[in-house]
Amino acid sequence: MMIIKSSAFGNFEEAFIEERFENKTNIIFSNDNNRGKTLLMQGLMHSLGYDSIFPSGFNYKGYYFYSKFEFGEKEYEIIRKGNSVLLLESENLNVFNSISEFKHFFDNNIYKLPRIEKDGDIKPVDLSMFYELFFLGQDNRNTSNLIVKGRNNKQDFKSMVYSMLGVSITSEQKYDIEELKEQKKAIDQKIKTEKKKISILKKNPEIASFISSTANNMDFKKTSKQLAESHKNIAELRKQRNREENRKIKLENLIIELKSLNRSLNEGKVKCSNCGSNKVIFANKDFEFDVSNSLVRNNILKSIRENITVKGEIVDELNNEIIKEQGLINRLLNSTTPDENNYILFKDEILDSKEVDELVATLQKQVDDIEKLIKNNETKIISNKEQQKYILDSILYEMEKLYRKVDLEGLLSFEDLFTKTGVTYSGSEGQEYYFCKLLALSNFLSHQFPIIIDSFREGELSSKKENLMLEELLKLEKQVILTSTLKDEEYDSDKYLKLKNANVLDYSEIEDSKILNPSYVKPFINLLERFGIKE
Amino acid sequence: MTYTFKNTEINNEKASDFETKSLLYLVGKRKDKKEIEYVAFDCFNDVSGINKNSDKIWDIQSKNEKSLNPKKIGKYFFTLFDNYISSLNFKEFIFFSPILTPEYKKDCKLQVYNTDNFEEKTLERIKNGLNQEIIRVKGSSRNYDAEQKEFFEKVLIVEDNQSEADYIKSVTKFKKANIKDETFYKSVFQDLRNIQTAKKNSYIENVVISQIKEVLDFKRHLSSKDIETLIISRIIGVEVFDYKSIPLYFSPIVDGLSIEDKKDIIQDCNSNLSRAFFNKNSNRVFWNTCEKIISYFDSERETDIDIVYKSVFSSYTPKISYLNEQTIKYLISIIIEGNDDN
Repeated sequence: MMIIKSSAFGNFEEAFIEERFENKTNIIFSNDNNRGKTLLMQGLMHSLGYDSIFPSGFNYKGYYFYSKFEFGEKEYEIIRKGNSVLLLESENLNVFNSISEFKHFFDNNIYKLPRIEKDGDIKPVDLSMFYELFFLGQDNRNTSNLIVKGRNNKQDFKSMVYSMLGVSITSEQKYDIEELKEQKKAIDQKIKTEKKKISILKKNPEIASFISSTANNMDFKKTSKQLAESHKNIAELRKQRNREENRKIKLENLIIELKSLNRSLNEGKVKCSNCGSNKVIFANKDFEFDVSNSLVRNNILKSIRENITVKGEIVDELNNEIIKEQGLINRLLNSTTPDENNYILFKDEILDSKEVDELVATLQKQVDDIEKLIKNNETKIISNKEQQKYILDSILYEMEKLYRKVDLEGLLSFEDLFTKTGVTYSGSEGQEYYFCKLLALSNFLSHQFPIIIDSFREGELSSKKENLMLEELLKLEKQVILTSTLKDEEYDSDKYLKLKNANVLDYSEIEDSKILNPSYVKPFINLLERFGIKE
Repeated sequence: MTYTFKNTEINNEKASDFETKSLLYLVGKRKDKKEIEYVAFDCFNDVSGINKNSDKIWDIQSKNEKSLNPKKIGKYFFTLFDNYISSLNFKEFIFFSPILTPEYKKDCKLQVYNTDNFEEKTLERIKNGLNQEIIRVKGSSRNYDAEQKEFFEKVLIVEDNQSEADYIKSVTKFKKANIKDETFYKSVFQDLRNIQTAKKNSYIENVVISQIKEVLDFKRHLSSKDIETLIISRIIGVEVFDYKSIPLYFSPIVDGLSIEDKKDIIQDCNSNLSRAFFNKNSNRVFWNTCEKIISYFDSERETDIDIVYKSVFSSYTPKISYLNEQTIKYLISIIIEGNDDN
C-alpha cells in the first residue's frame, strides 16, 4: 500500500510543509478559496511524476517539490524540480534527469506498472495516466477524456485497467496511424502558415515598412522577448532530444558490436593427433581467467536494451515538451495584434507569393497521400473482447451501486468509463461521476494506492450527498486525501471536526495566496540538504 | 623430509560443488582468511589453504555423503591424520561435511566444533573407524595411539549449511545491493567449480616434494586474490549499464561539464566496460587491470580517483583503445563505491 507521509514545496526564499497526513481519511479544508490547497495537492502529485496542472500565475519550474511516502516495507523521499527527480531510499540517492527515467525506476523498484500497447510496443504506462486511477485534480476536469493526456488517450486508460487484471490488448497495424495523423497535422499547419503569408503579401506588399512604425510599442517588445525565450527553450530541447537520440543510436550499434566481439575464438575443435579423440585434457600451464560469463554478458545486453527503451521514451517526452513550448508561442501570437503578429512571423522573410503557391501545392499533395494511407490502414485487434467486456461491466455495475448510495434520485447512467466525446457532466453531476469512478476502480482493482481528490465539493455538491460520500470513503481501508472549501455557515458549525476517524486539517488561517511562507524555509532547506541540494 | 602425493583424484573429472564450497569456506568464512594466500586442489587433500610464506597448511577433507556414520567419519579422517603425522607443517585439520545426525552431537546447534562435541559413544566409534583404516593402509607394525590422541584434539568439524550465494558473498566486502538474483551467484559458483576442475587435470600421483612451496609449481592452486577478482569482476559486469547515476568518486572528473556531456561520458564508459567484458582477446589485459585496482585497495583508503590512477597505472599506456584512462578511472570509482562500508 502506498501511504503518503508528507508533502512540501518551495525554494530558498519561501516554502510550505505539510507532514500531518495519516493513514486514514484526511480532509484539508478552509473557509475560502486561495488558501493553497490545490498547490499542495498538485505539488504532491508533481513530485510523484504527475504532469500537474498548476494554477495560472504559479511558475512551478522555480520550485522544488518534495514528498515522502511508504510503499511495501520501504520509505521513499522524492524531490522534483522541472523534470529532474531525486529519490532517497534508505540512504541511497538516485538521480533521474527525466520523468521517463524515473518511471522506469518506479516500475523496476517500487511498483510494477501495468503494460499497455503503445506505438507497436508493449510498454509500462506513463505515470500521469496511471495516477488518474486514484487522483482527481481541481482544474481541466472533463468526464469524456483523460485530464492530462500527454501521449495517451482514453482507450489507453481502459487498456491499462484491463492490463491490471491480466487482460492485455495488442493490435497489429499496417501503418502507424498515430504517426500518420501527426504527420498530417504538421503539414496542415504548414499549409495554413504558408497560405497566411500569401494573403498578407497580396493584401499589403509594404507590410514590413508599415509594421516597423509600431515596433516601438512596449507591449510588443515584451512579447518579442518572451517569444525569443520560447524559441531558445525549443532550441535547447531540440538539442537535448538530438543528443538523446544520438545516444540511443550509439547503444543500438554497441549491441551489434558486442555480439561480434563475443564470437567465439574457439572455432574448430582440438583433436589428439595420436588417437583422434576430441577429449583433450587442458594442460594448465598458462591458465587464464574469463572476466565474464554468459550470464554477465546476457545481462549487459539486457541492460543496454532497457536503456534503449528508456531513451526512446525520453525522446518522446522531449518532443512533448517541444510541442508544449510551441503551444505557448501560438498563444502569445494570438494575444498580440495582427499587425505585430505578422511582423513577428515574417520579419525575416521576404517572400514571393508565386513561390509560396508552389510550396502549398506540394504540401497539399503530401497531405492527400497520407490521407490515402490512413484510409487504407487495416487494423487487426487481437484481444479478449469478452473478458474486457466483463471487466468493464463489473466496474460500471460497481459505479452504479455507489451512485445509488449517494444519489437515490439521480438520473445518470454509466455506459463507459468516460462519457461520449462532447458530453461532459458538469457541476455536482461531474463530482458524483468522478467519485463513483475512483471508488469503483479502487474497489474492483483493489489497487495499492490512496484516493486523492482535490476540491471534493466541486460544483456545489449538496451537504447531504457529500455526507453520504464521506461515509463511503471513511469505510475504505486505505488512505484518502480530500480538500474542500466550505461555505461560512458550515464552517462555523465545525462540520468536519465532528467526523470520527478522520484527520481534519484546517487551512483557514493561511492568508489569501500566502501558503508559501519564509517561516518554512529553514526546515525546507534541511530537507533539500538531505538530497545534497544547496543554494 | 619429503612428502609423497597419494590418493589424488586423478579420475575425478568434476570437482564437486562441495569442494568448491570448501574452497569458499577457506577464503570467505574463516576468521583467519586473510592469512590464506593460495588454495591448492587435490594435492595434500581435497582442498588446502597455504599462507604467504608457504609454511602453514589449512587442510580440508570434504565428504558430501548424506548418511555419514561414525565409522565412515573415522575412516575419512585418515587423510587428515596422515597429513598430521607428515613432516610438513599443517596448521588446521578440517573435516567439511553435510549437517551430521543430531544424535551424534552434544550441542546439536553447533555447526563448527571440535571432536569433544561428539557424544562419547559416537567418538569411540569414530576412533575405531580411523584406527581400522590406519591398520589397513599402514599395517599394524607401528602403534599410533599417542598421535591419534593428539590428532583428535586438533580436528575441526565444519558442517555445510549455507547456499552457494552465501559462500560467494562472504569472500568480498564488495557490495551491490541491486543483485537480487540467486542465479547470478550460482553462475559465479559454477565458474569457480569449473576452474577448480580444470586445475585438477594434471597428473601428480607419487610425485615427491620436500617443501610446501614446491606445490605451487604444479599450478594446481588459485590465489585468494584471483578468487576475489573473479567475483568482483562478475558483480561489476552484471551491473554495467545499470548504474543510474554518476558514481560519487567519479564526479570530480566530470565537474563543470554540462549535464548532456556528463551523460555522454557515462554512456561511453559503460560502453567501453561492456566491450572489455565481451572481447575475449583483451581478456588478460582487463583481468590484470581489475586485479591491480582491487589489490591497491587492500591496503589503501584513497578516494581521489586521480591519485589512485597515478599510483596504480603510472606507466600505463592504453594498448586497447577502449580501456582508456577515463574508462579505467570510471572502473576505479565503481570499485571504491562497492567497497564503501555502508
